[in-house]
Parts: sequence; structure tokens; C-alpha cells
Amino acid sequence: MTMNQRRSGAQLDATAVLERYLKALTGGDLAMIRQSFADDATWTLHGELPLAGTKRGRAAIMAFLIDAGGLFVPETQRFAFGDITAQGNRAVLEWHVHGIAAATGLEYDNRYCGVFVVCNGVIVEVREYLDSLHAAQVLFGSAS
Amino acid sequence: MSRSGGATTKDTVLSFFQCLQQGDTDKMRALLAPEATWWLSGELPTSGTWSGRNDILDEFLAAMFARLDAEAPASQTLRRLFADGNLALAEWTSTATTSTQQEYENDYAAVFRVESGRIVEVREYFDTGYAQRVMFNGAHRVGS
Repeated sequence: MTMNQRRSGAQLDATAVLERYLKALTGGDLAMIRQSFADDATWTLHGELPLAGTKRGRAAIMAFLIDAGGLFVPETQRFAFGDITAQGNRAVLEWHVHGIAAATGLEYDNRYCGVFVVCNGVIVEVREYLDSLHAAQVLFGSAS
Repeated sequence: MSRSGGATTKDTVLSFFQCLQQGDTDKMRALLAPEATWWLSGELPTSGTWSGRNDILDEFLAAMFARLDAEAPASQTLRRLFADGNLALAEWTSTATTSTQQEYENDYAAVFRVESGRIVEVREYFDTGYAQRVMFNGAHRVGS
């Protein structure tokens, strides 16, 4: 993201910040992922999974993301991002995650929806939704 | 990225929620395009893509409401709603009592696509593990 994009209005800002974050996520750029969040950012994963709840602060969010990545056999996790829809400082993104679950060896294929709130060029809040039943069974090996 | 339709998009989705809360199926039908599709996350009996507004209302939503106690209060509390062009994001909390007298409370997010004042596509996300346990008593989707 360039400084021009950052100055050019709230809507582009949310989209540009999210695009920068996704590029860092895809490239495994931990420093840029970390810089994408405000110091006091929150990330809420809805549901009752072991990883669910609200993480507060950059360190907790980074630990959450790294823990989530660790649920997959290395090099198997793939993201497929949809388009970003934004209004003002809010954006929504839907994406697919594919991979092989480390705990079960099963194929994971889940659709996610994330709502992002951006302020001053960084993400301040994320609310994430996914098929928790599929995640519980495939990533955590829980019977239902 | 046109925002010209954002206000109409938001109004259409807001109207849909008002009709849902009032149980006004006729008005809900009028707000859905005849060929509308509705995708529900997960592997529940009602998960997958429902095609056509009649199937959406008379099969999908009817099957969901059949799991609830019609005499008990039910509500959809809209938490957030924003739109960008013909796409809108809604987040809400549904509370109800199931037909087996269990209290149900779940957070939802859905992306709506609106054309000419009617909803043409919905993708709905929620805590599927919780819904399966509380609303469907552990039942899975039959068949594919």
C-alpha cells in the first residue's frame, strides 16, 4: 500500500489495509501481519471451538493465527480469497481454507466470513465466522 | 467500485429483517428475486444452496422454524449492517426456544447481493456445531 492510497479516503483505506494484510498472510510475512493490527486490536472467532473467543492485542492475535496454522500439516494450508466489500472503515471478506489436518489427517475444506474494522491504517477489530462443526471434526477430531 | 446502490441495498436487507421479525412471508417473498439462491454454511440438514424464493421460504426457512417452539418468543437482533454497491453484510443474533424446549442463541453473518431492490443471493454463516447440537439434536444432512 502506498501513502497515496492511505490518504485517499476511508473506503479505499479499509480495502487497502485488508489487501496488504492478505498479501502478508499468503506470503507468511509475520512482521507485516503483526503490523497490520493495532496494538489493542481484537479478533473474535464465533462459536465453541478451542480457538474461539476474543483475542485482545497484537501478541494474542499473532499467537492465535500461528496456532491456527499449526492445526495443518505443514505446507498444506491454502487460502482462496473472495472480493473485499467495504463501506467506510468496515470491510467484509469471504474466503476458503483448504488443507490437511495435522490431528486427523483428514481433508479440511471450510468457508469463512470475516468482518474487519480499520482505523488509521490498521485493523482494530475482526469478527470471524466459519463452519465450526467441520472444524471441530476435522481439525480437532471431535466426534459429534 | 460503485457505491451508488449502497443505500438501496441496505434498505432492502433491512426490510427483509423487519419482515422476518414480523413473520411476514408474503413481504419476504416480494423482497426475494424469483431465482434467488440462499447458501447456508455447514453440513446440517438445512445446509447447502437453496434455489428459488419459494424453496427458500417454503422449504428452507420452514424447516428451520419447524425446529423452534412457535409459541415462544424468537428474535433476530441486527448488530451490524453495511453495504457497498449491491452487496451488504449483516450480522445478527438469533434467540429462540427449540421445539425440544432448549434455549437457542447464535451469532450469524450473511452477505446479501441485491439487484433492482430484490435479494438475489445470500451466503449465511453461523456456529454450525452449536446449531447441530441444540437445534438439530446431532443430525447431519442426508445425502450429498
